[in-house]
Amino acid sequence: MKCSRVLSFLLFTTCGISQPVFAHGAKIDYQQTSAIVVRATFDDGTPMANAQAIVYSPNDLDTPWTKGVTDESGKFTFVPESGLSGNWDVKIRKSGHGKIISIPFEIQKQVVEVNSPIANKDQSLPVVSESDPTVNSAYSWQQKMIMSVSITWGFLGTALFFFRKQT
Amino acid sequence: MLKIIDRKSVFKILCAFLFLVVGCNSTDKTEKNITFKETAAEKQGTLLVVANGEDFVRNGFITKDGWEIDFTKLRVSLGNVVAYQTETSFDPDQDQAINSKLAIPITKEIKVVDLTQEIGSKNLTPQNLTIVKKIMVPVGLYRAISWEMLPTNDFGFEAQTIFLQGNAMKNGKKINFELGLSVPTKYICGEFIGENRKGIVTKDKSTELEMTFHFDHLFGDNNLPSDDELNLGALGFQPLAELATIGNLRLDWQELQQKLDSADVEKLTQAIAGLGHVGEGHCKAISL
Repeated sequence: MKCSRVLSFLLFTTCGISQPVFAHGAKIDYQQTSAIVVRATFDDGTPMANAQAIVYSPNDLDTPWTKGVTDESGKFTFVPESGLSGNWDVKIRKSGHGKIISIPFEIQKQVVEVNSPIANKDQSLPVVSESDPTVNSAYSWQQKMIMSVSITWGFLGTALFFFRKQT
Repeated sequence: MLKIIDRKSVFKILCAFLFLVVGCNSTDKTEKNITFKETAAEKQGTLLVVANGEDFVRNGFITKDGWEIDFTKLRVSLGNVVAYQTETSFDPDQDQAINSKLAIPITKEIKVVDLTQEIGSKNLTPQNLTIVKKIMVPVGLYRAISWEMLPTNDFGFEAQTIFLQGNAMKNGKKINFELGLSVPTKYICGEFIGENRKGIVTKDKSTELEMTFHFDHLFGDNNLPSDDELNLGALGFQPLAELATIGNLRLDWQELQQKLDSADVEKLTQAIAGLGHVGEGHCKAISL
């Protein structure tokens, strides 16, 4: 047991696109996905290879969304469920040591235009670190006030222009 | 028309609009506060704060230097236990402080708990964890906990934070020991790390929030290689055994500091700093 070793996490996001391949009598479609890659190491840099990985989704904190094992370099990759934005918690543990990390994840609605009968299902695809206006639309009251004044002044200015004194 | 809407009138209209905007925002804040209070009052669940000495304490173990330890009492003095709800996980190795949205004081006064209670005790959970306190708290995920080990006179010694009583055997030699340790420490920890998740309070189901004590950090573990970091940092029992008189060892922290060499005192102090865990998760230790 490596008692004083402290785990550290490195977080990567990948956007994998499998390219279409054309062959006789076959069709291959591609699906764009965003994956989250977590890398766990001890504090001396040693990868946490073959460690248990447990993922919890934002809408069920109690039941693991998926479980798996890290690879030789301590990496564990998963693709968050489309439509579930929020904090995805990933727990990595091995030999009596472990840690948990919260990964913020937001949804951006995209439609992939592909000439394929299978793809292009108008499904929302998860993209990490890109804000969706429908999800993250919380302006401060100062911003709202400035916007309101600007809009009002636009109307007033236009009205005053038309009712200006004729010389 | 221009006479009606002159510059002063425009200014007045703008001022009125500004007041209106500010007023509307104030109303929003009030409504949010009311909603929070209603939520806190209506949605509560049971939080069972527990202390776990693990199998090392409950079943005994063999130290790194071959002493077979069996505890009859292992008491710790706890104070200022606080449970925290946070938006995201707290990492005691990286984060400076717990950024909590809710902090619930569990015990402000000192509470002494025994980590070696017999199975069947009413102070144990079904998993044989020592109950520190059962408390109703707002529902949510409690991702962090902090507690202090504070001096008490309850152990038969003066102002000690930990009391260990038991016997140690090696090569037919038996030593009965009573040891007091006094290293007041605050432990700041994140979420429980284990197979299952703990700290999720719901309205209908009680949940545990665990303080874990790794006493193998003090004595080492014979099942691990001698060069394992845990064993390298542990004192073991041999330095203590050498202080025994006719099979008996009864010393408090002040006496231990005088009789052990300074390197062993430092090793023991560091081991106590590493005592507090949350399952397999490490804690930040602050000397008080």
